[in-house]
Amino acid sequence: MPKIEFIDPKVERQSGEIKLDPIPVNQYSKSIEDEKLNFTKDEFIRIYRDMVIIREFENMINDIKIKSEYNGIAYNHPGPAHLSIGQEASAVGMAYHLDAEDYIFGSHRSHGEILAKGLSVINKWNDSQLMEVMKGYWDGATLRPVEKGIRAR
Amino acid sequence: MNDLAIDFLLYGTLAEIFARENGFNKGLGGSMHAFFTPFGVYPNNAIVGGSGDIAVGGALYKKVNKKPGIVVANIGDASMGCGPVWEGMVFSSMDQFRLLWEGEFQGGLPIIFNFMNNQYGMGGQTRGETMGYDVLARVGAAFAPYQMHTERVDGYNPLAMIDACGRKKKILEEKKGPVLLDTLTYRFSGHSPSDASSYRTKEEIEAWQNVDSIIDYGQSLVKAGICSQSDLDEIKANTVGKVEKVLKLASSDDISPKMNLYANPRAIEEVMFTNGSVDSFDDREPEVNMPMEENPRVQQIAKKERFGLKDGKEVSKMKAYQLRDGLFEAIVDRFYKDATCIAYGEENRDWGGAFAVYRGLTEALPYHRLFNSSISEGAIVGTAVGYALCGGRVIPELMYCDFLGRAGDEVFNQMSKWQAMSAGYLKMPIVMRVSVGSKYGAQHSQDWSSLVAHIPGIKVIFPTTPYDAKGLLNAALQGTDPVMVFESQRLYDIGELFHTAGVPEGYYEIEIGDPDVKRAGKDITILTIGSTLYTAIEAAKTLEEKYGLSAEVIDARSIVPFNYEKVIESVKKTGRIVLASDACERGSVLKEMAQTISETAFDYLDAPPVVVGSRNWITPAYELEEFFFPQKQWILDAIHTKILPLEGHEPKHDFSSKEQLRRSKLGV
Repeated sequence: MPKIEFIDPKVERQSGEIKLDPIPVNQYSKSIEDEKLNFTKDEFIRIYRDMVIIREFENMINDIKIKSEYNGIAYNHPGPAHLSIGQEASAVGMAYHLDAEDYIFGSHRSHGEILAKGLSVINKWNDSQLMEVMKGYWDGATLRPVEKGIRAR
Repeated sequence: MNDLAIDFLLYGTLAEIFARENGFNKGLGGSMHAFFTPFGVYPNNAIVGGSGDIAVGGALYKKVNKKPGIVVANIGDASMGCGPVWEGMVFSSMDQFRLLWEGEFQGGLPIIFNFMNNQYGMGGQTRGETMGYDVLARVGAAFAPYQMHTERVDGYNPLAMIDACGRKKKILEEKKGPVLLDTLTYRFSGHSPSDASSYRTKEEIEAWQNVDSIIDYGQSLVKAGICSQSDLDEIKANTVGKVEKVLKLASSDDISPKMNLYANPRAIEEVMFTNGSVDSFDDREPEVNMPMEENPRVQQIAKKERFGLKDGKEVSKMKAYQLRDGLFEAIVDRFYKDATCIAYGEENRDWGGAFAVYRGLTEALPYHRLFNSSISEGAIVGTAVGYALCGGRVIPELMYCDFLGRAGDEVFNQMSKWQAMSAGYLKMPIVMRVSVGSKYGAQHSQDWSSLVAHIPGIKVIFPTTPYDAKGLLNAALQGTDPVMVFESQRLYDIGELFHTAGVPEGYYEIEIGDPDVKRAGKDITILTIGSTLYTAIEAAKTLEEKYGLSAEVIDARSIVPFNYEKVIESVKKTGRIVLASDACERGSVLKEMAQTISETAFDYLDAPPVVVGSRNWITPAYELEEFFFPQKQWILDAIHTKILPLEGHEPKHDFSSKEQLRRSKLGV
């Protein structure tokens, strides 16, 4: 449509071929030793922790759905739960470099991505940033039970 | 604090999954739609591939509004079978971003299509059964010479994934997006807990469990001397404690009550629309090419007659301020007010819209604010949804109402629902324009306003005069809700024939939902939607001249919301009402209106309200349209047969109950 772009029949009708570049498949080959240059000990461990948090969170939902109970806590959840148990490395890896200004959109199977992205942001933010958001969200309605729960513990 | 924040994240998510009011979305999102935008977690979507075009709108928002950050669409491998995902990828890789957009706006969209490739879509295995791509990453090569920087990454290794995402993020920051990632992974869990996994073998699941990324990665950390096994065990124990705690909190009805609709029966009602009034969604100066008064269209309009009648006669089409001018004035005004405001569709730039509403806008606006999009109706609306919920105002246009089907999910499941599913946290300032055709047959001449009106969460307007068009569109463009604007192609060139003061040059709003009495009368009411107003006016003249009946004609102007007060007042006076529009009669929203009038004004009615709609057929060729769309004669015949015999009237069309039932029996 734009007039500034001329469609030249001489060019368009020339014979030739389209060349594709090779598409990389699983080319990553670094060892943990190699990666010690890129990650601190805490960072290595945090990656593990984030995966474990997602796994346990979803194991719990799975138990609730199947057995209506997790570690002795009974609950019946009639609603949906599409779990991503097994996919934790993908979620944590996807979110690792992302901050709050980076947006993720997901699917029906995105509990893991929500947690991975949230954990990544929590790790990057300072206390006052976190407190401001938590206190402000629904005027603190989501935060209050958690704070109380901590005191009760 | 981190510990508290992690608890907050787990609790907000779980409470949402359990439909609790303390959840991130007050329980109105739920498991499949949970999100928390303060951390950059935007809506998750229960429609497979739903994020495939919405996320592109997020990236568009960042680009147009110079916001930092990238966007990731986390969608499944099976969503590669969904049209909107392809449309989203086509839209995101349009050449114009790199070639035609100017200055700092030039360059690719900052988006990664991250296909979380767990190798199954419901019970279908993608590679080997339901797809033909062999390796999903191959698809990226199709969209652009840079092949969307496509690659497969071993998503079973967190470090490989971190490495890939870091590299891809850099590509986006260099404005070389979009990017496609084929993230190889596997779900041990079934599609849902009730899934018996009958479509795969136990051996296959075990093979993947044997290389479980958490166990593997943990072991590699221990082996590399980074930590000990007991460190890992402690992490696990801590986590179990946290999960137990949030489960106790989120499952407690005392601590985490569900939304109490007994105490507040309007709790959900109150979040269906945000009903805001916003001049601009950004403080920055809007980017425009020239002062508005220098615009050729603006100058041309300045010479037009703003009232369409002179000495009782219609001003010529050339001289009259037309309905399309009213739409233009509202839109151009907003472009100069709100820097986030953008418009796009299939023929918006250069062409100026198929019906010349946007003529003059190309001169006024740089590329990034007005552009032609791929013929991707799904993505046109889907990207608008993403753009709006990220914080911008947007005017997507589908040339013909008939193309709405192509954007079915985006209109019916996305645009309409995210305000309420976010409990009112998100806004959806979309003014979506569609035109209702005539002359072009079955797939270009349908009034589908009733379909849209049926879906909760969308405002629907159908202006029929220049005055109404400008005022209603101003209101829509000032609001924070999705508004679908129906425009009749029959009326784009019509002048203002009712508002005697003419169309004001300045800004004004007409309240969405408020119908307008276009002709006062006392014997019978005719309520119309769309261009049938003018047919009704003709019928009213004949009723007056031939039968001595004074008809009051009311133009609905809006369909959702709709304030019945004026209609009820009218019916109290006349005791009779006919409702007419170009929509096919079966399931027409006029039936809903007729029913509501029956229920609320029964005592005042002499006869049941009568609906005159189009036949339940295909729209035939222009030459046969008089047999399809309601004509003046039909309105008279319907009144004569069903409401009030008109003396000396000889009906030409059968509006008898017998005929009505016969047609219904046949479904025509």
